[in-house]
Amino acid sequence: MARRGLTYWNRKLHIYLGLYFLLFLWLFAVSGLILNNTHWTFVKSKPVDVRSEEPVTTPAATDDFGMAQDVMRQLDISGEIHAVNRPRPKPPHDLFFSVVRAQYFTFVQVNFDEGVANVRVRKWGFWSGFARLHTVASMSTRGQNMFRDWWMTKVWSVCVDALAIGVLAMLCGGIYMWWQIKPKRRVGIVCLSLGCVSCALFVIGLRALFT
Amino acid sequence: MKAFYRWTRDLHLWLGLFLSPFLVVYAVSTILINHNATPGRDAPEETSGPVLVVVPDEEDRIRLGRDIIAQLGITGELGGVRRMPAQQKIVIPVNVPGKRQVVTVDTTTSLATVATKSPGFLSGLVYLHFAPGQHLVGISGNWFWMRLWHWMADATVYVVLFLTASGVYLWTVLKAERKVGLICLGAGAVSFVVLVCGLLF
Repeated sequence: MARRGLTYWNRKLHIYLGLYFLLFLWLFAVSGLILNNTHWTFVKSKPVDVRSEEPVTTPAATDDFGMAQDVMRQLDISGEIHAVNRPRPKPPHDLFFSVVRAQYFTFVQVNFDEGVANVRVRKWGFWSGFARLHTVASMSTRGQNMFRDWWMTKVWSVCVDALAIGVLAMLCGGIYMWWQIKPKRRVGIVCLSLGCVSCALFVIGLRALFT
Repeated sequence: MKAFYRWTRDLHLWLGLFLSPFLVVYAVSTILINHNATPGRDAPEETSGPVLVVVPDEEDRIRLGRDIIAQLGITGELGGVRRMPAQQKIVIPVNVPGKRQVVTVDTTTSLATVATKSPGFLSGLVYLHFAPGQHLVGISGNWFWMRLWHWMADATVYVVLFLTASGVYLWTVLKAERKVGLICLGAGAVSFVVLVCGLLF
């Protein structure tokens, strides 16, 4: 009875997880394909820069990151702070930072003495932005002293984890369901073995073969 | 119609089983990348050489790198080969999943040293996840095995698209699962749209 119960719930979980994650899977699949084939013509797009000058007041915060956050609030910019004072701002500017969203980057240089921020918004084409959804959760943490500081990327990174765990759960559930169908076992073993051998070739085989 | 259903179900099963190890690679490496894990970062680095090599008069960096690593008996995917005239050296990174070698050639003496690091299995998964990726366009896939992986990575996407589409079809046939299935699909779509719009616009 307990085994039948597992079969029943496992089948349901396989269907429901698959349906819930359907669009997420399509997004990561298609964006992965785009990232692997950046030479495709429709993917290539020239970014468009829009520059402006905005008034700002000197923030109360004294650390670079806190000042960047304050200036973002003043300029009504939202997104992930990607780099603060890297590279160092050129005089007469006192602060430089960039803010990342999937479809556009915002570069801000601030001269607090004059109370002016030079803002450059670099907007990418749709497919570039779409492909960046694939990497946006990790790009904010690649590098020293970098962390996710925007709630959207924090939520997105949780979704990415959930998707990965969901895929693993669906795989385990799918293998369990297949094993319950006795007439399908033989061909299934052949397919699974072929997959395991070809995948192992890349994961461990190449290192063993070419050492 | 019944034959179509059976074919779809069987293909969903066979292709899903074949692809499952590849999906494990992508899922596990996704979690590692998402948490900025760098497995094997502290793996020891071994340096060998110096070995005398012939530096060919070659403009193409890939051919230059290939020629030099062949003399050293090394094989793998070349990274960005750098000529550094100011330092009088050529740096050639060579990657095999889970192993990284950096060949440095002193152009004044033609002596090459090889620094080898083996960060291991998990690092190999992360490397494969990023390959071919958006960087090193025109350079990546310069080793047969990694070119084959590139094709596998693309094929993985196409098969995933088939698996999901066929999965949706197989679900629609199950009348008993429609209601809850629609709720799951709707909930997924809503959370997807909210998040994607938030990140994009």
